Amino acid sequence: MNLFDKLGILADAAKYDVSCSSSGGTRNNKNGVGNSHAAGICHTWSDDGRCVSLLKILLSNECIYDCVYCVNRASNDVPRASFTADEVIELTMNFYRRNYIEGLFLSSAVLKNPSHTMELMLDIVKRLRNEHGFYGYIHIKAIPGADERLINQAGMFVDRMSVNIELPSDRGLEVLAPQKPKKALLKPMQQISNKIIQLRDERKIYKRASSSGSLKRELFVPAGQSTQLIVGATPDKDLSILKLSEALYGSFNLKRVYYSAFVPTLTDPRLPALIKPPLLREHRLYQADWLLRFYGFCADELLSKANPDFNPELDPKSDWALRNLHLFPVEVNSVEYQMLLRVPGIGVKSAQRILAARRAGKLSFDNLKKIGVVLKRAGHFITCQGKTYDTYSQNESLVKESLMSARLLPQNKKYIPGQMSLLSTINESGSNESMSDLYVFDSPQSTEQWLSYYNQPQDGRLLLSDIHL
Amino acid sequence: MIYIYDGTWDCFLTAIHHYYYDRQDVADMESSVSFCANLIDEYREINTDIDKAKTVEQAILTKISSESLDNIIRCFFSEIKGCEMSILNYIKLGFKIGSKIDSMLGTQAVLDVLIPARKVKVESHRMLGLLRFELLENDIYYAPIQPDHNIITFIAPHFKSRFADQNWVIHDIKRNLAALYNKKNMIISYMDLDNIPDRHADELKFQSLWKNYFNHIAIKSRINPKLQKQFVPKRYWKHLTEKK
Repeated sequence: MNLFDKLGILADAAKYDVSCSSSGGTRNNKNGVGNSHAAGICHTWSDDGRCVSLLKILLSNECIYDCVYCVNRASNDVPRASFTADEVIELTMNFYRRNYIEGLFLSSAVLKNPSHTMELMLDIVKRLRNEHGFYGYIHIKAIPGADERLINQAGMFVDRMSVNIELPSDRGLEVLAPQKPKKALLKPMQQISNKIIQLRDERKIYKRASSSGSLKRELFVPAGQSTQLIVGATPDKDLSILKLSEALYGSFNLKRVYYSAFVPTLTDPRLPALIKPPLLREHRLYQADWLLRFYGFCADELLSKANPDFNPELDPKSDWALRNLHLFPVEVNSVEYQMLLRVPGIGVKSAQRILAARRAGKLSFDNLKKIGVVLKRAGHFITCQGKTYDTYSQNESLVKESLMSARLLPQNKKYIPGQMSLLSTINESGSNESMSDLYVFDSPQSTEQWLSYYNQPQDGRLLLSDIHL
Repeated sequence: MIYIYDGTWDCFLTAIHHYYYDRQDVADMESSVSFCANLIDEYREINTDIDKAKTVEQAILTKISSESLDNIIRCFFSEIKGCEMSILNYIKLGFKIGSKIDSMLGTQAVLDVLIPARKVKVESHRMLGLLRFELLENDIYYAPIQPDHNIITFIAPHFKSRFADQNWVIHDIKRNLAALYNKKNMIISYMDLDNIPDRHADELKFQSLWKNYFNHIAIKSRINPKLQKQFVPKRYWKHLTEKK
């Protein structure tokens, strides 16, 4: 089978894994190619509107497991293929050098047994780093059940490692993935988490011990670990999914939990008969996930036993605010940051801008609009210098109606699944060179002249005459 | 009085210096590249004076803040019509009130600089991802771009540290501006790059592999062209290998 067809099969097999983030890396280029960008970089967006940051492929889709929800299950009739290590490396290096990708996301079906699979993956990342001087981003899957030492070793070479839980409850796993008990999934996560913490603590001690800082810093999964939960393949409620995420962020220090709307690729009596993937539900979970991580909410505030699923008509934050109208309105010019974040229509960015602008003077509604606050929504919950907004009302049903008419569905909502590069502060690539030093104003006149720039002796000298040969 | 400067940053700063020291009433500042004279207005052509330019840059740094200078530079390179006067008004205000200006997000004169600056920042970041190199036969990676704003100075350093062991050219074909890097040094210069050498023999193979990957990675039941276009506006497709 040629490389072209293999790539098709193994990209198809990998695409249901939604993780694509390339943020959080700290690797610098040391005489090779590549580096990490703190905020991550999206390189393109596929036809389904998802960001493509990494070359996301399976090493192999020849699986010994037979998980019901999975497109690569042993009993499914799909074309099978496996890459060689050289092929993965060739693709990664050549795509990276053309700026198609931010790095490699390597996952795999379980080939022969977990340890064997992990060994093959370890070999690839090791060679990329050591033989090819590759400092780009690498995310690999830890294969549950693989030898602990292999997972630890792999962690030394990659930026992120993840284990997919996929099904949010024991019961779901029992029915749909009988070969993967939850314990076996949580074990490597616990192991990665422990190792990260252990090395972080050691580093603290070393830092104190060696003032020169000459001790080589050992990197272990510097961008942290993540996981994925499938939404809609089991009867689990949103509440239990969100509680699980909350626990994962808390106890395993996870960087991200991804949610993947179940795409019915197979029919099986044990799977729900879905016509379309539950995209709105997935969207609501991402919104709530953001509320957990950046807005100081906890799962129990957003959902409850009596109310275990998200409201399809309203985003979780508006829904919470409506249930807590007694806390509003708040005065924008004096309310504390934590409460400001809880106002629908005010995001992290605008809350921070409000805080900065407040120091310079009192804010009016007009100022808020310029800052980027969505007054159509926020107007129901705030006062500005004691005044309420035009549409302000204390009547719950009126507010609800107005929020719903201003609601944003996934299609036109400015949120970025998987990546938050535009939301977070964009870290400028540090450059010490001043701009005017870089400019050459006597432009080369012909092709030969500019091409000759690349043929000059590499002694670090650059004179204008070099490009005017 | 309308000041005409040569379109460069240093010349623009020189013009600002003249505004302060010659005490002239300036109604507008225009780049000689795009300017079109009429009979009624009075003009003054400004010549670059590096010392004057440095003085102004230093004054912004000390009297306002480095953050302000960054924003002013970005705003200038947005090349949005009228950005020169926005910057002048911003500087006038900044010299009066100092670094407090950075937090005056409700003031129009501040927003007139911050919003273009933000656009430049967003496009620069976007281009870090959307830029595509092609390997040429003489081992140079070549990337043509046509950005809305003049962002080449903001993005080139990123590629310098990332692709440190590659020869490359980033070519803004809209502005005839190019960043050249030869594994050692980088220069940015105005130039017409004509007669680009032929592609490397392997180039089309990797382009077709990438296109193949791109087509396979989309989940068919989630196709959403509207969302895709929101992230990658159509005007960028021309140079995007997978969309060409």
